[in-house]
Amino acid sequence: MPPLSKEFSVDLEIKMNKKVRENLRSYSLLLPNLIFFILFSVYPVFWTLKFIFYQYGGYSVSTPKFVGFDNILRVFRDTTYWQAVKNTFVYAGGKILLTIPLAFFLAMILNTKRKGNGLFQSIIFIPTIMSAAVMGLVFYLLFNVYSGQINTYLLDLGIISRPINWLGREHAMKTLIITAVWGGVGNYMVYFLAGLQQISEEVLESARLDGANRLQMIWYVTIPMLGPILKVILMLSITAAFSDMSNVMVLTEGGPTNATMVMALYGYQFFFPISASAAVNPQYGYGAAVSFVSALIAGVVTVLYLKVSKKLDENV
Amino acid sequence: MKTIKKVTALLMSSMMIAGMLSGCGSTETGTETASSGNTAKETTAPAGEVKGESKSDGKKTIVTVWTKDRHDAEYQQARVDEYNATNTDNIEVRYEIYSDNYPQAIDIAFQSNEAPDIMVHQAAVFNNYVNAGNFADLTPYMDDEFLSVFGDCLVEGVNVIDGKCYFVPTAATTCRLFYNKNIFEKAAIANPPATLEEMVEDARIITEKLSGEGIYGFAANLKSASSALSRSLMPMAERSLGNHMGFDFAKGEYDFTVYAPLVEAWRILVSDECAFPGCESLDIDPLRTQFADGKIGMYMSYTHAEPGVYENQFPMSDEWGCAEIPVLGGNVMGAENYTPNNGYLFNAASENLDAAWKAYVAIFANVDNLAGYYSAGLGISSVDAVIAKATPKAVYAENPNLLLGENDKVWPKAPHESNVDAVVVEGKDMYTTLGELIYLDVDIETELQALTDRYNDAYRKGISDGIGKEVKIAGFDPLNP
Repeated sequence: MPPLSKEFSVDLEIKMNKKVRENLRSYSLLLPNLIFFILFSVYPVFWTLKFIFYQYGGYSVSTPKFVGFDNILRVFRDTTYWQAVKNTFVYAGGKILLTIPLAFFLAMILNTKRKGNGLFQSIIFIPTIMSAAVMGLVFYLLFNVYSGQINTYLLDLGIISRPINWLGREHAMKTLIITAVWGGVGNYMVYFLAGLQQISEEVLESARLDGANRLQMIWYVTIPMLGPILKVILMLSITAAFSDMSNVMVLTEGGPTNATMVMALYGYQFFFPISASAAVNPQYGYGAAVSFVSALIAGVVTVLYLKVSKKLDENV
Repeated sequence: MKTIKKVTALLMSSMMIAGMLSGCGSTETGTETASSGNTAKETTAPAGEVKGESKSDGKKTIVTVWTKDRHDAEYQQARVDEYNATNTDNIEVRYEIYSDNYPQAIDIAFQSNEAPDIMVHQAAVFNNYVNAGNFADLTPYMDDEFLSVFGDCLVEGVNVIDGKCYFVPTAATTCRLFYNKNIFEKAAIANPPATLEEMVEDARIITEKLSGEGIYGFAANLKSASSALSRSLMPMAERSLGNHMGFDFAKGEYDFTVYAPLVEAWRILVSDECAFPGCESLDIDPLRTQFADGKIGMYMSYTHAEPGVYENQFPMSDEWGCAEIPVLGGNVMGAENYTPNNGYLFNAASENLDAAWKAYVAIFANVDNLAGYYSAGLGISSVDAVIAKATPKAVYAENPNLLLGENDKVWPKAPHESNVDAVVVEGKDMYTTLGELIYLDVDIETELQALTDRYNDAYRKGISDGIGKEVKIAGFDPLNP
């Protein structure tokens, strides 16, 4: 290989220095975020992965004991955990099936030039920015058996003769799903609105000229054109529903008798007490194993969804 | 170019690792940080020298006290303020309340070496940390004068372990049945139930007669099974079965199968026939509000808390009464466990132990202060000298069952209580299982046997792993544990 000319070498060095300077600037801007990301996201993941293989009762125990795969095997024997997994699927399914159509419907209504739309959008969006603790408290006041407003109205209207135990085993999951839908619909409505506003007026106009009625326009034009954003919305809603626990923690603490226990909360309780009254016996190693298996399950569901949606795209 | 990228990446990695190490460093690093930041006045020399130095440069020795109790905050803060204003040792006590998630706050404090000098005793905190050596042995600080007053409060296996005393309880609490006298009168029931069978029957009668007015016979705060059953079913089992937390001390093994008749009775108690609607999602405070409002006939709870609750927190117009926990078939087979409380644990790593002890003796182990505490109805004293000096509130005279009686004793600790790490139970714990059993239509005997097996497996594994010890007491008498 012939040696490079001197001019070319100098030119290359200048270019490289410029590139390095540019890169350094970019990296220095990225650095603060990167540090926090690694400290508070990456490091805890590796910490958790390490303790999967230990029996560790938290800070009170001086030395964690290596137990190999015992914690993982215990997860597979733990019937309460698998009940929590089942509950998570019911909760996530119910939440997604109700939230997405409702958010789409609300977005369709609000995607018109009507007076007061902005106000309605804000009202529907407010639950999204409300803290889970406040939301839980509000819904507790609405749904509690002895003085809840829902029962009071139903009794006053003569629809029921005895208070319904909305937070009891029979109805607690339905109540949780209603709370979750109320808390999540505003967020997805905003995504749908953004998608709807991207649909060209000409496309809708030409469909109208072709004689399509309102329903046909929604089914054959609007929904297909919302495809890309719908995929994102569904993916976000799946991951959110599978990792949701604050809602459950505040309203039912996973009870009564684990009837509303979801897998994220089940793992959490091995690290921290769910409430001031709940007993806690820290089992960090087992909690880490539960969290790891739960993350795997949520990951598998998300990957399956992505595969199915890709397949559907190919067929279309 | 590649080399430059590698160098940049290496530099960045080093910076990030340095950041990680400084933020999430080892215990040693944390110690230095905490020492220099938190207790700057005391860290440079041993406690004695610090005090001298403090006095000479006019700086006070700060003693931090953490508590979980809010009900006595006003009383205790006044005593602390008085001490801070009058003590001649240049000590300043900082009294801080951490009522929510107290054990978690202690966890984090120990991890970051920022634990307070003194912290109020709580069973979970004590059990979690005593074996790790986090608490100071107080025995060397106790002089004859102290022991003459509080000597009887030192009980091996409770606050004294292997001859080392870790806290001195000055009060006690136990569980009782609280009932609404007006509701009982309305339902034409003359006396509170003495047996479990009477209790079920009374609850049924009240619900049958008065549910039209929104009044029901029985309630329990079953939103949290552990919170509900530890104050009701568990003491009932001690009295009815002579069994504490499922452990048979004579046999040296767990046996929950004996709980079957209690579970059967509880199934009726929590059914629509007897119970306040929504018991399974009820917390203790909402339960108390409904009891204060005259909607609940009876429930079970702790003696130290309820009198204050109905006087200050949820004032009650109806008259309430207090009775011993009903027993199965009317046969008392065991004493009821009482919990020594109002003890204070000392941080073994504190560099102010001398000052902390002085402040503790002057404020929290002061007979006058303790007598005032008892007289104010904030807790039931277990110290003879305090009882002799106090003028208890009328509520105690009217309800003698609020006080400890001859059937109240301190039980030895079951293996999972004395060492939480030695009995790691797989699957549902006793509270969750019992909570499910009283609500779900499953076979009681099978489930109780499975629960027994889970606890015994965990107990034996703890022993074989060298973490736990065998607990077996020859000739154990549950009536006099």
